[in-house]
Amino acid sequence: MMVRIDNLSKRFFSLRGEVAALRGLSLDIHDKEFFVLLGPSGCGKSTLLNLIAGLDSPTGGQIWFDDAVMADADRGVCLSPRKRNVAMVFQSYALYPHLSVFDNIAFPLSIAGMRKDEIAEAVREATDMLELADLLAAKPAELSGGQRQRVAIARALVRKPSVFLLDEPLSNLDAQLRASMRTELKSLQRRLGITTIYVTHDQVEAMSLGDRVAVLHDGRLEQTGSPQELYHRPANAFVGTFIGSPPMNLFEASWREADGRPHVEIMNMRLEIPLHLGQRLRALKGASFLLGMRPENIHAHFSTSSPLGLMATVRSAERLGRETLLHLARGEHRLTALTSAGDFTEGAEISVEFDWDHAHFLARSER
Amino acid sequence: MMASFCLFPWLYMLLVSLNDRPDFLGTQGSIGLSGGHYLAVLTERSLHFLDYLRNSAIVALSSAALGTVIAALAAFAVTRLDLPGKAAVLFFVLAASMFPQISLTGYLFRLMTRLGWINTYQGLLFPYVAWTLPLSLWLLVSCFSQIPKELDKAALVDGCTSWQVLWRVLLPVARPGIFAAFLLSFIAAFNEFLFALMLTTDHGARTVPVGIALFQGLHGEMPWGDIMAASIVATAPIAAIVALFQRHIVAGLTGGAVKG
Repeated sequence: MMVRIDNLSKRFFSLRGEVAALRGLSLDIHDKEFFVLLGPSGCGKSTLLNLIAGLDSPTGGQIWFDDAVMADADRGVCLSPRKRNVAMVFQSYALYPHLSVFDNIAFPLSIAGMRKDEIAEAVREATDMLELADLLAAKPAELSGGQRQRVAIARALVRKPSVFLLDEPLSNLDAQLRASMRTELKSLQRRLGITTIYVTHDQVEAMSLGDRVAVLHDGRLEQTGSPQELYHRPANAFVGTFIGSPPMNLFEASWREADGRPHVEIMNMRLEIPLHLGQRLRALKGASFLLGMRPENIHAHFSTSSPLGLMATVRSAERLGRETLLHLARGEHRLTALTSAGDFTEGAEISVEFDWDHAHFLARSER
Repeated sequence: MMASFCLFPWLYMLLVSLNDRPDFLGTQGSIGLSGGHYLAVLTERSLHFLDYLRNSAIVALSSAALGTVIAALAAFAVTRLDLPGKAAVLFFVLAASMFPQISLTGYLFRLMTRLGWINTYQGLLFPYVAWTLPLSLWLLVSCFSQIPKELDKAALVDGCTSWQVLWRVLLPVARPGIFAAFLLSFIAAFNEFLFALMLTTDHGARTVPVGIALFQGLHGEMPWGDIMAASIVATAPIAAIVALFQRHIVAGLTGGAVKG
């Protein structure tokens, strides 16, 4: 099932006045794709999921499943969830506390009016898949968090939905369980080939699960692409800093050509950069831009001078195990660098060198 | 200590009801145990005690049932639907429940006379429903609002209509609260005196509390033994219900029973 979202917007009316949760967002989600909506809290990603599910109606734009319109604000069309054949998993699991595991999983089927023996067969298939066969008689209150989440997933998958929606399904689990559920979820989705839309604020989850990831911010789409694209070619400063941990360094920068060679000026210092980068700088138009450098692409050296480097003071060193994250200062400017080498003591003067091949030249945000 | 203090009147009631010469109520004469008063209360036609008991049961059960149904639907509307001014409705209901009963009696009597409902079940049923509704409504609103909204969403996505959400998910999950609301309004209606005194004229609709109070009037003297025996018979079921379902009532009142 292909999901097409066309210029979708949603406004809420609350005591604070009108709030725009989505501002004209367009997306194409391919058939059988594992698509992740990523963004900080309040970016509108859960609102978007509710609109796709039909739990809420948009105030502008359209939602299409293949060739069928699900919601169209201009024509006043909005199908109820029961007509869309979507399934959803919630952060709080939302299991029916009065029903046993079996009845929870059977619930959507019995609402749909399926025969008893067909229900039993479908539930057995789903519980086998999620290894829940021993728990059929238990009530949700007797289950652990991981088991509850499996029941919620089984309930969602049991009626073979055309679109599978997940709203931060792993946030309530502990780190270890989250990692194993992630792998399992991914292989389950591959096996069943159901178009899946997954909402999360956790970039690690998004990168590891998504075929493609859409980054949302303030009700708008910032960038869509594969995890690799988002990481290596962020479209703007927001995506650059939101994706990747520890976050990317951003410098106010300007550039000029002197003696036929491109130079970048950051932190009151002019640095010569490799010739081939000049093309990319010219494409930015305007002399002023943001320079993004990931901490792993800033190399720290003990040596007190380096031709392409600059000097900085170590403010603190955060030992992460395999690597050390250095918090550096240069005048009033701050930057971070990731290094695997040696012991850097606080207060030491070191030289840092930028790996220009991994530099990101980002246009200033238009808003 | 507290329990014995509370139970003492009831024990005394029990004692008097079982005494064969209860009129003395004291030290004179022997205290002999006998079930005579119970026999009299339960068998003597002229006392109409069984009629009263039946009336009470019918009126209290039906008003509690009707009231709980209305309260549950109203609580659903208030907590789940997008209604304008629902807070105002709740406060209006609360304000209405503060009305002293006595201030209504005159109007209620005239209304029921006009309708020809004096001494009928419906003449008691509707005032009782109105009178117990505020309590059940507030109880159920707090109970419903503690059920996470994601449960409704899950049910909707699973293909329920709004009615099915209420019927198949919310009502079963809210069962402890609904049960508590039903029991509390049943007890309130069973105990009610003033409306019943005013709106009934004889054993056709008269309820137990009024009936017992009027034992004396029927016979000119104070038949203490019968009164106490009748009181025991009337209170025993209530006490038993409360003792049996105390856990549910408390759970329903505190609402801790609802968790996802």
